[in-house]
Amino acid sequence: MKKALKLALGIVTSIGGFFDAGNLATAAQAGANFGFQLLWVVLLGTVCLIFLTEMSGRLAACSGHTVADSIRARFGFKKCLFPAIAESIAHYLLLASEIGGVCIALQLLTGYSIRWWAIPVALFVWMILWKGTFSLIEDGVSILGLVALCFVVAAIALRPDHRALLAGFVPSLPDSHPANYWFIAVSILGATISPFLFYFYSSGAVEEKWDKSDLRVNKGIAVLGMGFGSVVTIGVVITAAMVLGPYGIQADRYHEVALLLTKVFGFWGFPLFLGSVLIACLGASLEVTLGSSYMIAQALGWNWGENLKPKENARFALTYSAFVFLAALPVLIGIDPLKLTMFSMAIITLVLPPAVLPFLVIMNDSQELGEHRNGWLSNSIVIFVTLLAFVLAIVAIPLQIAGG
Amino acid sequence: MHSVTSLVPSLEERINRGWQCVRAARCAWSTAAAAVAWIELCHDPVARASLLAIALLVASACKSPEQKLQKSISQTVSSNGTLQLTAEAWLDNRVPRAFARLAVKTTRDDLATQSSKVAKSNLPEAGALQREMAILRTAASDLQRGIERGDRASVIRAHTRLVRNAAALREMIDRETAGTQ
Repeated sequence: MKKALKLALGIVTSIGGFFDAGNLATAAQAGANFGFQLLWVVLLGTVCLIFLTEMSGRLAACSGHTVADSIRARFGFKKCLFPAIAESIAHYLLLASEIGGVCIALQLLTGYSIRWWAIPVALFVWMILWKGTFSLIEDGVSILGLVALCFVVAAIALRPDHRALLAGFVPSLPDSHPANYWFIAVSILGATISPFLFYFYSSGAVEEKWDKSDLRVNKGIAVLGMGFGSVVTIGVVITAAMVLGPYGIQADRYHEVALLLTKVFGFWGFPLFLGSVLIACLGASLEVTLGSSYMIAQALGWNWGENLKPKENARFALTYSAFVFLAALPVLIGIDPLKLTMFSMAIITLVLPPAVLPFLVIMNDSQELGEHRNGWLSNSIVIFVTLLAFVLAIVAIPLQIAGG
Repeated sequence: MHSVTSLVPSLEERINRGWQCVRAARCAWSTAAAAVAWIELCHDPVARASLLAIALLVASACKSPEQKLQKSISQTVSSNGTLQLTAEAWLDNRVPRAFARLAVKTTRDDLATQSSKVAKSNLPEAGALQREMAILRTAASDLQRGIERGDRASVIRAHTRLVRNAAALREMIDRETAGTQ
């Protein structure tokens, strides 16, 4: 009974916690510019994420170690320094775009510029981290994040053409704007498979003292939670394709995306959109900050834990405090949050190989995991998607930047 | 039937074409010079190959004036669509006035930026786009005034103009797409 409840809560929090500024921005642009044509990328990213999430939970349950802990123990401090720095930069950009998402929602609600909101939002995020526990952050905010399911309801209500929808799940080449197509594809992969997710998930499993009896719960959360979570992203793609697409709106500004739900929900569409963005970005800000701070603390061998008091892990608390306030700077100086989001999602794709490949080596170590080590299927899928995302990013990012 | 004078390029057209050639040459030259410099500095063959690949990518991404204009048209269509959808949402009481005002103001600012970019283009089609943009900016101003005063009639009039403008812009984008293909 206890396990069933744990599984249900895990699935619900995964659905609520899946959606963030990156998913919203990339999915809205994909739908508005290319209709259903980029749905296959969402599917590909989700499959890879399911495997990575399951692997990070399995590692924590079987060995009692987190991903960053195990990588440091296996490869040594020097070898994990460069990937840790690269990932921290990518996570910093990601956090800045999540804070920007919260600020934009507040701007659309109040009319006051995002610059006014940057510091108050950073302060609020920091206060939750300082005072809150892991359960509050994971369960509380993620359950509130279920409001994003309104995008799924909107997509169903809009009655998309089933054939066109299914065709979107088959990889295809664009008719026009290929650089933009591949850049959005790369950004979708970056938004779906962010490395902070598996640092956060494995650290959470260790904080909640998972053991081998939790392996089935872990599999259930990874498959059902992440699977259903991606349905929200698919909902955004469909809604954007059917609401913004016919008007030729490119969805490269938040006020354009804010009109997404008004056709289906009427007056309630706008508050629902703001609520979804506010909660999703706030939840993601907390998770990204914690995930990155876990990684840094574990890579450097510091004391860490969200359930500990700040005085018991002072360096960990200092890391997340600095991270949050520094991430407010890009919003404070007026960088457009949506552009920052698209750019940071693409950058995340570039750091995937140094983050994922050492993790795969650990997952194939029989000394660490015994009979629970990876099989050929999970290895092949994760390697394929990671390298594909990396190659696409190498090609698409310069093309997009040079093309303006 | 074309007259003889229409077939012979005018002095202005010749100058424009000359400028385009100069710009293209400058883009190619700077990319090639940067690539050569980096390759000379770098001795690692893997790094050389990747730098060369990046240089080629950047070189291939240098947009022609026609492609730049096509992008401006797409962005103008997007602005037109945003104004149209915002007007519809406001008329149906689906969005608050504060949001509608912000959306129209931001779109107007975007249009002004876009317009200054198009003004730099020497292509003959840029003039037609600028005319459409001027109509759009007027409609946006009327829309903003209508929303601020709560005047539904002027918002409806602005919306009608936006719908008409959308059709004209779509025709333009079709012509441009056919031209570049």
